[in-house]
Parts: sequence; C-alpha cells; structure tokens
Amino acid sequence: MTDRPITRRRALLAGGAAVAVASSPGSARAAVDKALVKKIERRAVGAATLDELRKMVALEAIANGRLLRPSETSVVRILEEHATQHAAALGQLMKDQLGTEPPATPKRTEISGLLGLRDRTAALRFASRLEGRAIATNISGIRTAYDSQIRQALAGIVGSDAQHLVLLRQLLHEQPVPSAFERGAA
Amino acid sequence: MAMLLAGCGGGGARTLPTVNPTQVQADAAVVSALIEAERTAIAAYRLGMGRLAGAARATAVRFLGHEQEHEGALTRAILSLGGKPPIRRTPAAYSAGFPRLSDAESALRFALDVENTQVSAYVNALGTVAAPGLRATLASILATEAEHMSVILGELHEPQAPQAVVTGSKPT
Repeated sequence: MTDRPITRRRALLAGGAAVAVASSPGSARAAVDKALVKKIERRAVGAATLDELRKMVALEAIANGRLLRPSETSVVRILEEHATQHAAALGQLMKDQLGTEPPATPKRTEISGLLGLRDRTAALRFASRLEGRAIATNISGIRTAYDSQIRQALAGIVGSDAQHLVLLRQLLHEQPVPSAFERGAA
Repeated sequence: MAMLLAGCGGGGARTLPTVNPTQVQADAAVVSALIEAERTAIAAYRLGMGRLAGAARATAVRFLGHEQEHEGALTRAILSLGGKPPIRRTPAAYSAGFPRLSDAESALRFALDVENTQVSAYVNALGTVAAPGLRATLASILATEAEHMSVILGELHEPQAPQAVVTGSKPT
C-alpha cells in the first residue's frame, strides 16, 4: 500500500520536472517589463495577504465571541491559526521577493459585517464567506502571477483554505464538497 | 497567442510575458499527465467503492463524479491547446499496481493517498503551466482535491485540516 503511491507520485513529479525544463521562459522573458510584472505580482500577493489578515482578525473575534459551541470554537481556532500562518508566509514573500511591505492588519471595525454577528449560524456563514473569498483571491493570484514560487505558495494556501471550507460547511450541515471545481466566491 | 500589452500614460506600451508555442506544448504535456492521474483516481474510487457502505460509499460515489468532471475539463483543455488526450488504457492497467483493499479503512486510506498524490501533482503543475486561464482551472481542481482529502480524513476520524499549507508533499 505504501510503495505504489510513492512510485506513482515520483513518476508524476518527474514528469512535472521534465515539463518545467521544457517550459522555461528563457528568451521570452528578455523583452519583458519587469517593473510591471512586479507591480502585478505585488497587487496579487497583497490582495491575498489582506484576505488572510482579515480572516485572522475575524476568526479570532468569532472564536472569542461566545456565539459558538466549544467544539465549533476549537475548529475556528485552528482556522485562525492557519490564517495567521498564511498571512505571515505571504507577508514574508512580499518583503523578500517583491521588495514591499505587506498590507496592515485590518481592525475589527474595518471588517464589514463582523460586529453585527448575533448567532452561531451567522458567525459560521460569515467565516465561510471569508474562506471562499480568500480562495477566489488566491486563484486570481495564481492566474496572474508570473513567478512559479509565488504561484505555488498561493496554491498551498488554496488547498488549506478549501479544507477550512469543508469544516465550516460540515458545522453548518451543508454538503462539504458541493462542486467538482472549487473557485471560492468573490 | 496574442501579445499582452498594457498601456501606461506617457511612457509607451509595456510588454508582459507571452505564452510561446514551446510553452503551449509544455502545458499540453502537463495536462496529459494530469489526465492520466485523474483516470488513476477514477479507477481507485471504482475499486474502493466495493469496500464501502452507507455515507462513506455515497461520498466515494460523489467524489468519483468529481474526478470524472476533472478528466473532462482537462480533456477539453488539452484539445484547446492543440494537443490530444493520452490514449486510455484498460481499466486493469490503471488498477494493476493498486494495493489490496481488504476493508473500508484500507479503501479510505488508499483514496486519501490518491488525493494526496493528486494535490502534489497540481501544485507542481501550477509552478510550470504558462497559460493563465489553465492555471485557474488547475487551481480550482486542486482546491477540490484538498476538500476530498479533508472529508476522507473525517471518515477516518483524523484531523481534517492538519496542515496550514496543503501541497500534497507531506504525509497525511
């Protein structure tokens, strides 16, 4: 059971590596306006970072808001911890690779709808909307970023945010994977 | 593919990277490998369903449908790139190296391993694929495969979001 999947994965990764060599941009990049590329990538990663920061703040407020059951609060704490890690990783990416500071962490009052939450269903739906929005933003970033490392960083976060959506949908007694193509929601 | 130009006030046209024919061919090769990965997942779910019952079986049926939709989308993608989908092998060829699934747990663990491998393949592909629209499609499939993993982990009574970054490269 363990040998076969590893072999299959290695084969897939080896295939991908071969393709990476074949698709190396090389001369196609020579005439590229690098400043414009950076600007586009800063915008994409900046938007993704802001969404994760917004989630971090909102999920903490929801977890502390006494609207949820203890087991639900535990789930939201995990999501908050992940959002914190996502925001930190993306912020570091902005500094190291894009030469710019990440966006400032929003205040609770700056997150529309957060302070008006009155029950557990509304709180869980709000969290679900934030996760969906983050997925959409990250996919948009993957679409527009030229740098493969940036795209792969966003991809790892997309996978995590998608798993968060499953947890929230299950708490809401909704279908956990309603579509074959998870695009989040803008 | 047409050159992308973005005007900027007073400074003339700025050029963004374009997708050249070599990259289109490379994209098609990546998609071809992903189609085979989806066919492998389809074979895995078909085999595993025989060991599942109740809600777990219903979930497997649903996920099988998703994998079939992914294969369809990737087939359309490779055709739009001017390529051809890989020749479909026999069902036995896809399942030849599968482990023996003796019970529900072994079926679920195998499904989890397949999904984990899929996620790894899509993350890898997103590092190499040049066409922006194709990348968006691959990212939405990656998200769905990660969701499948989460549900399967739940069926196995394990943490459903064990990592903050899901790349498929870490053991689940």
